Amino acid sequence: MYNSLETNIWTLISSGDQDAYARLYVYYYKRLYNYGRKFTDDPVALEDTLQEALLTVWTGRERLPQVDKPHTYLISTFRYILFKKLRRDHRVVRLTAVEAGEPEFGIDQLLIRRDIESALRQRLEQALKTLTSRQREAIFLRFYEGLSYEEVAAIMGISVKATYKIMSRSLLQLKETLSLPILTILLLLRGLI
Amino acid sequence: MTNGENNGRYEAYGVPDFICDPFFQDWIIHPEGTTAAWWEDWMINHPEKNTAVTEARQLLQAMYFEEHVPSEDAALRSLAAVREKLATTAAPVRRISWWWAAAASLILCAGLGYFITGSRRTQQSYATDYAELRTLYLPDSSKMVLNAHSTVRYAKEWKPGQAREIWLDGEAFFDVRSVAASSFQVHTKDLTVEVLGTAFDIRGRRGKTEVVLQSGKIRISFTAGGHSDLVMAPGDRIVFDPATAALTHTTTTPDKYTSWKDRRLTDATLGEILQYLEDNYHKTFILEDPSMAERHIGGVILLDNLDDALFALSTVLNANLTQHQDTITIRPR
Repeated sequence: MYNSLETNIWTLISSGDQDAYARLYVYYYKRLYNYGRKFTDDPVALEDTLQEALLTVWTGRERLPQVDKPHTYLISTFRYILFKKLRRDHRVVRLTAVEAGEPEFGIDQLLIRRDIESALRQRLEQALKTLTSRQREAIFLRFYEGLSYEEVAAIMGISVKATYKIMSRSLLQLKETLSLPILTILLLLRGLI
Repeated sequence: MTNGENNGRYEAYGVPDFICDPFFQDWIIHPEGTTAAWWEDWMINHPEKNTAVTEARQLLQAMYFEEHVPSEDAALRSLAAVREKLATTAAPVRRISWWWAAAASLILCAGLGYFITGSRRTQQSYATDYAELRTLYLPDSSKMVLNAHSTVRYAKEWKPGQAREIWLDGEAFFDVRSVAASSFQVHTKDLTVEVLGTAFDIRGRRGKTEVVLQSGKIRISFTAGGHSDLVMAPGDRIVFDPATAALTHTTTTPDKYTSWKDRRLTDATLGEILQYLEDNYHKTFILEDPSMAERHIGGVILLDNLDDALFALSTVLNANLTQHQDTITIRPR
């Protein structure tokens, strides 16, 4: 889906390689857009945020070698700017509505594969709807972006322990729906015997 | 967590343990990696775990996400905009030029060609900062007042017989001179206002576009299909929300909507006043009691100066206003 980047890309950029920056820009533009799009479909907010976040890589290139995990750092910078922007743009809502909540990770963004048997799929989809925005985001970062628990924690601004909790709670919630019918079938069989 | 230390532990695992185990998840996330090889090997030695493992894998693999990966072109256009931003040095120029470059790429993303900027030699553009109002005279000497935090672009020269076109993001008030010569059009992201004679206010903020006509006659056409053209009479107000394609058409007292150009607001609700202050001074307001937003503030609120406006509000509302950086909290006394 994304072309891969060379492993020394950050080093190249920190030494002022403009072509390397261009490659990194295109790569992360796609990847971060996909992530940000889960929270908003406002193209202006997304574009502004992408430019702002990616610009920091170039303007701060001399400090890059000191950044422990530039990949995680960039994703979390992007998220921070986007959330700030979205909160600001939704001020009207806040003035009239009650809550000043966080931007929502869209409920329709996490889906169940079509090739799953339809009765089971329906149950899983039902279960997905009970997940919170943060649960959906954690699953996205872990299973779609392939990040480690430590990275997910850093990006979402929570502890690693909390990340474990969020993740297992979500997965077990899904698992529940999966095992329920199996249990009923067993009981039924026993009853017959 | 490495495979070694987990050896043995996995034999006692059930489906819930597997799905919550990061090392197990890695198998699903990176099906080609060394982790996958390790698990495939482990499975050969633990056939009794086949059912549990299969169920756990199925569950994790059942989920997928809606994908919105932009094209290579979109990414390159954005890069070009950022490069331009980096290349230009003079501060005021930089602000304007990059904004337009960004706008161009954005609108292209949205699939509309009209926003593509022409050469800067033939185009004039202005961007106002927060709290800045700017009166402009267009090439045909029509008057335009650009509200704070808004941007406008138009050709430096308007040739006789050709449409007079303006592209606006934000809010502006127009007083248009003689319409007979050629048509006068104002484009926003979602709609175009064609002037058939007159003074009107366009407000493209927070995703919605609002048009209020003071005098004369204008025609609105929508960028996206779904709504047919609409002719407005004085006192008419329309609000278009592109997110839902909803169009509201009401009548109003135009002065209420155009008085900002004299830096005052007349007979507005607290919500409307705060919205103006937020847009124009770049502040965020928090109402401790959200129902206050509906509160009607009679008379005129001057917008000239933020402190004066806040003082007036605290008196009228009998409320305490506390400011912390850019956030102002309003708490009833």
